[in-house]
Amino acid sequence: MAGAAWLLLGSFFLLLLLRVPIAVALGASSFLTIWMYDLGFPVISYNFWAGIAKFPLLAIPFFILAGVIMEKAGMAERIVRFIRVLVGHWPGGLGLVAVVVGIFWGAVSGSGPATVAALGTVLIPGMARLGYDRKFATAVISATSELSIVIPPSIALIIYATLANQSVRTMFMAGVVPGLVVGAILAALTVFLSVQRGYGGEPRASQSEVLAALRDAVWALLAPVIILGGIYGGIFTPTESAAVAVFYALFVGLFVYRTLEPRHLFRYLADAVVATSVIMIVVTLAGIFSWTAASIGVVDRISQAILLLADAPWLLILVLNAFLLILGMLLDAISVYYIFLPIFLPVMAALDWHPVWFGVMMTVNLALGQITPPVAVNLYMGAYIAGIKLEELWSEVWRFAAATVVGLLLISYIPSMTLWLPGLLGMR
Amino acid sequence: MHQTWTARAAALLQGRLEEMLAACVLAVMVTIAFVNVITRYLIQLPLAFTEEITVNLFVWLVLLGTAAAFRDDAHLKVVFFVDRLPGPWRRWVIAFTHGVSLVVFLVILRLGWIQVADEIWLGMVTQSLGVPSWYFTLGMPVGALLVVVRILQALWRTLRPGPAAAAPAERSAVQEWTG
Repeated sequence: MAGAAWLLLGSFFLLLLLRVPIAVALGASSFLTIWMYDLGFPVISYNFWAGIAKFPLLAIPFFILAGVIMEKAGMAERIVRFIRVLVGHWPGGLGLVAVVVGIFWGAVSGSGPATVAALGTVLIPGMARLGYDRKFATAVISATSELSIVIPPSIALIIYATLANQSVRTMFMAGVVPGLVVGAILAALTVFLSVQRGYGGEPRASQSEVLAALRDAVWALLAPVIILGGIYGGIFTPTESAAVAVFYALFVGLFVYRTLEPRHLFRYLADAVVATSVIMIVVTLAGIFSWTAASIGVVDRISQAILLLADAPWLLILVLNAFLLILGMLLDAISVYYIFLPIFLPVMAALDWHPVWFGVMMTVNLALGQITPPVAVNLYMGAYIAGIKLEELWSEVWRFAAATVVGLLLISYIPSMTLWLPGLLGMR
Repeated sequence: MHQTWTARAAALLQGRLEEMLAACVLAVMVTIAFVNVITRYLIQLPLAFTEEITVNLFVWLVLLGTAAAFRDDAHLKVVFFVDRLPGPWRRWVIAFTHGVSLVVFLVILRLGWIQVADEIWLGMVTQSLGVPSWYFTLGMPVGALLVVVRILQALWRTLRPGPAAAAPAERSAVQEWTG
């Protein structure tokens, strides 16, 4: 059924490039193929329902809502202030602050653009005031925010876990070390560039200022401890932990910081609903797409073709990464998982590759896709917040993209980097 | 009376009907999930049936939110190429994309409705609550109908004469929070 495969993939990519929403392009190409090849329409409505109604996926709206509330409660701001008094006086200090806070906020938020939004509004004007180039500041924040989908909690890792039959908890543990490694590379690059361009540090904060900032930030600093501690400690499932995070954020925002107004809660809920639905409609229609692809047998044949390279696994890893990188420029991470994981899973099984390692590698690769145009959600958000053009941003961002590639290669060729931490805790 | 009712309905369709509903749905879902954690630890009473409610409400939430995202032009898409086309071309391509979206959600509306009708006819009930399963399934046709209304509104905005319609949607890519 080669014709069916061309119809499915061809119509999908054509619609995609014509500005049709990704979810609709996935749906339309699947429906067309199901109709032309008589694969059975009733399955669509069942699959549509089943694609959404999964308990682990409930963590997505809850984590998004928690992120929105934490941001509005002023938690991001307070973490920035605290890290600033700690390392702001170093040369290139504020650049380092941006990366460190980006890593930290990654442990609260599971979405790249959400992190850009939360941190960019605070950090970009702050860095510009201290003489940092606006483009550079935006590039640093957009690039660091890619780590939000590698460092747990992560929407991308939740989706990977459900598709690859892995536990979300294990995936959340596996993302930690690779996230920190890429973070360290980005931090080193940021400090190097800042020093080279003569961006100085701020005056050193006094000890009492440090203490005051710590006291103010402690509730925000506790958030990832509760979210991740609860999951790793086996106290909550990831979904429950996300629900707990929502109420923790509400408690802090309403009663401790008193920065939230109850009458705005409705707005936060609505924001989280739209952000969730934009992801979930892709999830469910991509599920139908991948069902269609499997039914016409295209999946098996591509898997077999990939396995022709099985004799040279190192080359295969390189080719797969290059392929994912190009796809990540055009597609969001979630569609890529749905379309290509059914192809990769048999390959992993045949080559005895660890699905946890593969998932983290794939996620880092797709995280890079968030900062590589033309579809670069973090850059769109960063450019929007900073009020600059997307095209101008690339002249700064490419260095960070290149640095991420270095991290990606390390993760690709040293699987133990990823598997060490979950292995230590008996999660493999 | 009749007139005020239609006027009110029209105002809701102009406004944020689906967001209001979906925000309530999300509030209920997250509260149920949170209460479930508490009851499990404090009074050792896991409320298993709650999972059925939250998971099924999620489908309602997603379709309501999808409708809102069509109204705000917030869906994830590749704007890069089409936004470089000259104005009139861009307008026709965008109108075409709305047409494709319309077809997809009409299919979902139709199939969702068939599933609801089947479930009523078969008298199906849900596993743990034992309520008629079409209570939940109804979310599919109802939600898809709202999505269709929002797409038609977007199509109308695109085709309506005037310079505003041809302007590229500045916000479209910005609201994407996709992981």
